[in-house]
Amino acid sequence: MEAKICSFCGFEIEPGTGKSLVRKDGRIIYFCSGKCEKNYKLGRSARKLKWTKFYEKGR
Amino acid sequence: MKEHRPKRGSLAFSPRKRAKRIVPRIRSWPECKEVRLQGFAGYKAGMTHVVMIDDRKNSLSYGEEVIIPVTVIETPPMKVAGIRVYKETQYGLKIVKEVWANGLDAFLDRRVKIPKNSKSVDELRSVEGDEVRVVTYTQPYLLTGVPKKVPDLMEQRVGGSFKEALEYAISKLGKEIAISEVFKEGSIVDISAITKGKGFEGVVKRWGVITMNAKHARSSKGRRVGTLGPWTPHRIRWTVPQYGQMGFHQRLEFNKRILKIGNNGEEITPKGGFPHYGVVRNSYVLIAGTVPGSVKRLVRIRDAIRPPKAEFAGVNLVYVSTSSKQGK
Repeated sequence: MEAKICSFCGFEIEPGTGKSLVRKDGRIIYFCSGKCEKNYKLGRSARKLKWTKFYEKGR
Repeated sequence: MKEHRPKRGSLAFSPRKRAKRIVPRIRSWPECKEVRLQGFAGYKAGMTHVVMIDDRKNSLSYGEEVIIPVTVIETPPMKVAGIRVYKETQYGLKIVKEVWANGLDAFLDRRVKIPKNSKSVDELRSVEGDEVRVVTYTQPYLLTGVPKKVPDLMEQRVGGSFKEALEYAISKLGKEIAISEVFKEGSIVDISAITKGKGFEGVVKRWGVITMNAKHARSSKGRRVGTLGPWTPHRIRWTVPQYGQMGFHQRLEFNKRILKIGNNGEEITPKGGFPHYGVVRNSYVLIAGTVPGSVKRLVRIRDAIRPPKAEFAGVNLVYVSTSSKQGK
């Protein structure tokens, strides 16, 4: 069992939960929660959100 | 409406009344060659999920990891209060002899009147019978999740030949029996419990009758049954969907699989505890799938009476989820 990382927030996904989305270009995107999925679909950038791991200060 | 459609709701469980007792009644027991109890009881704690290697040999995902929802049942050891020897007669099983243990728990006195001068166990050995059942009781005072102290009393059949079963019962009289002495990991069981009570419900929720359309819905008769029956016969038939009690019925579910029997419940307790239950502190059982009834409710487990033909390679749990059940 390999642990998956949420593509939006960067935290580990609880095994047995979450969603994976296969894009047309073949990229697979994993979501840990509906919150991450919604934010992704709204086109938000994870780098601008404080609660994600990808947040970058000063940008 | 279409001219032909199946009836709304099943009549199989009629009458839909409240169950008489919270302890489910077990009406029949399968034969068993092993010398052990054939049933056990516990209290439902909640649900979680596990990752395991699929071991159903005909399954497409055989050998791969699958995620399975499981119910956690807390099963503190049960105590044997008495032995009852049954004999088969033409009117069914009749009790031939009954012996109760000495020095039983004080809490049990609140449930039943315990006979003061119990008979000697040796009297049982001279009795001729066909079946041995032991009177067992749960110990809810060991649980922190269940606000109950009075034990639940029930009979369990003892497997094996009559002589073997009797000797086993005598050796266990007044003593504790753990779940691990009764069931094994991977064994198939039937589960009986009282379902969640929904109270007095209308016809739409209780039977799945469709709500009225258009003008009828606006005439304050929206959630009623269209007709109670024809002019003749001039009475309402029992098959007509009507309002009344829904839920709190005894239900038996066949062929559930025990995925794990553990001693330390804290290893299974999710972060923040099970909702409306708390921490599991005793031995516990993981059962694949759901179990009838609410959390904290008594659940009876019995040997499968119609075991499946499917072959299983053996349970191999990879991961048991203990993430919080109250959101992230």
